[in-house]
Amino acid sequence: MAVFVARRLLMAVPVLFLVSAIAFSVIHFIPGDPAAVILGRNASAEQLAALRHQLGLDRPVPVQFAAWLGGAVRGDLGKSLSSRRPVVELLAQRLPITLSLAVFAMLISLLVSVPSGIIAAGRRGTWWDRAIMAGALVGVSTPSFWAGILLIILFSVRLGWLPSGGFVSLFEDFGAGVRYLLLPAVSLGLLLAAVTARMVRASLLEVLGQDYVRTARAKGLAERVVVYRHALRNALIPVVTVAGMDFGWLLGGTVVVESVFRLPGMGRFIINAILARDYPVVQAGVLYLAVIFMLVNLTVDVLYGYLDPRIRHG
Amino acid sequence: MAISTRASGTAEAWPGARVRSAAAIHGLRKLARNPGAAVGLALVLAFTAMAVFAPWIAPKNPNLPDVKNRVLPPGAAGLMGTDEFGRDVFSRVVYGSRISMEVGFWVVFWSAIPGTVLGLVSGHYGGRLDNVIMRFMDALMAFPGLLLALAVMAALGPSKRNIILALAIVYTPSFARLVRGAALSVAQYEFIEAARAGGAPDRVILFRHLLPNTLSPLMVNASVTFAYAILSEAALSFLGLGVPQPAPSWGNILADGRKFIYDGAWMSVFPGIAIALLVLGVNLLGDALRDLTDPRLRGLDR
Repeated sequence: MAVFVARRLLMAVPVLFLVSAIAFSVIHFIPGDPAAVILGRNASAEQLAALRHQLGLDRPVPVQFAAWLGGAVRGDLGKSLSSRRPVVELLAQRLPITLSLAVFAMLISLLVSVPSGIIAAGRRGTWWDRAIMAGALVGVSTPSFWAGILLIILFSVRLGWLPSGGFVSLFEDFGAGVRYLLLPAVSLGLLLAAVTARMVRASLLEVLGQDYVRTARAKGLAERVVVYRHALRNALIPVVTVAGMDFGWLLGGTVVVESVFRLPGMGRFIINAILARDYPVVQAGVLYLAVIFMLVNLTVDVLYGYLDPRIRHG
Repeated sequence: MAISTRASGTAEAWPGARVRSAAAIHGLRKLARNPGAAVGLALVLAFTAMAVFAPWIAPKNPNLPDVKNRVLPPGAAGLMGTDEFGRDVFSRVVYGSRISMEVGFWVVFWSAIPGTVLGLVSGHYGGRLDNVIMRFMDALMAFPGLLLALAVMAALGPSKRNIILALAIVYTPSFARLVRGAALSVAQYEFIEAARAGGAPDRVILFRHLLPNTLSPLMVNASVTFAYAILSEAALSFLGLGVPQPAPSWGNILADGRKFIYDGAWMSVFPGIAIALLVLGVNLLGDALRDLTDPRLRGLDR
């Protein structure tokens, strides 16, 4: 097991390097000179050159990348061009908001999708199955940010039950925090649930068709025991992997949903930084989210090896 | 399915072609019997017609402001009401289908072609080249898709062409991985060995023997990518980093509508319905294609 984990970690290193190279280089194609953006239109050529030198923009790109990467390893990702504060500090304030949204959405998704997938597979071909699968198909086809807008129209504008946007920290006032996070988390979580429910159903149906399940049935075990004790465990293995990849979709989705609900998380921060050409913030934000996604997938891989010994020894 | 027969040459060049087209006809019949596929096809055709005939369907110029008729509900002005500038929302939604269809089509085109070539090359030659290509694809896939598209859009600036480019970069790795996997499994068959022993050049092995055998998973992935591209374009335009205003894109119209959520909900409802219906149609078609081409699923549902 230790060897398996070590090998996975080693494989992640070159990918991590490439990820940071992409995060760094993409932003260098941005049209417009950051120095000109900071100083405004009336800056003289000397002032521009001085600032470019101060920011290190006059050095060759590979040198800039090496310096940036060196800083990143030590936990220094530069300063925001607009607020002049350390990027790491700014991101640390916003990251918990995005992560709590993503985790909340993931919980909603699993709570909805696993039971409905099991019901659909267990009652295959009945109206239960058809209704759940039709709902899932509609869910897969609905943009999450539009679902968010519809939820606001229904629960905030019409019924007035929940706030239409804004944020209160879960750690300051848990009840209020949940009220502010509920609609955004539902709009992300329900769509994710649609994807996952289809997966749970397909996976469970495949397992239920296998020989060992037939043997269990032939032994005269109750259907409940067959499904829950024998089939479900194996059926959920691929679902775990997909849940890991879905976390990346969630992180991307939070960017849009945070905008709909005016949540001050990473996504809105990155978008505002893009519009303001605050490139250290964009680089670092993109890097953070990509690294979190990689870590989640790494954890899932390890978990997968733990759940299914065939992978570990393969 | 007709594509696969054409890609594998004439019947004389490869006797398998005749068998294939028979299977294709059988497949099409099965597709027609699947009600989900029929609904999906109808939806996709309806939106295609909407995009092609937009000038005849839309009652008004989608960009024409009309200050006297601002923010009017459906019924009072037009089928779907008017927006903050008095523009007809129905006309804007009709024209919006053009951008969605165009982006969907070209994103599939520009991610499938490089992805397929990279996957074939990677799977066929293996070794260090394979390693370099696939690690690079891994790195692209390590980004949450929408975030990568966002970063690329930040670099390139908002325009329709740049959206297509950004999303093509995001979706190329999925094609490369898929085709590489398929090519690796096909490469073990004897007919590839036979072709190589017969002195066929790499080009022939790659495009005449490996490619046709990867077509069915490729088509399924193309339909999924089409759906994702439409959703992503809407999201990017909603964020103001996609198709620039005042061009009517469904995401743009939704962004305009977000400002009037209290007294103009119709601006937010209709473009979203359009997105969901088109994506639903594409997904239904994609599901039907997958059931058709994945033999493991055959007979499982019915």
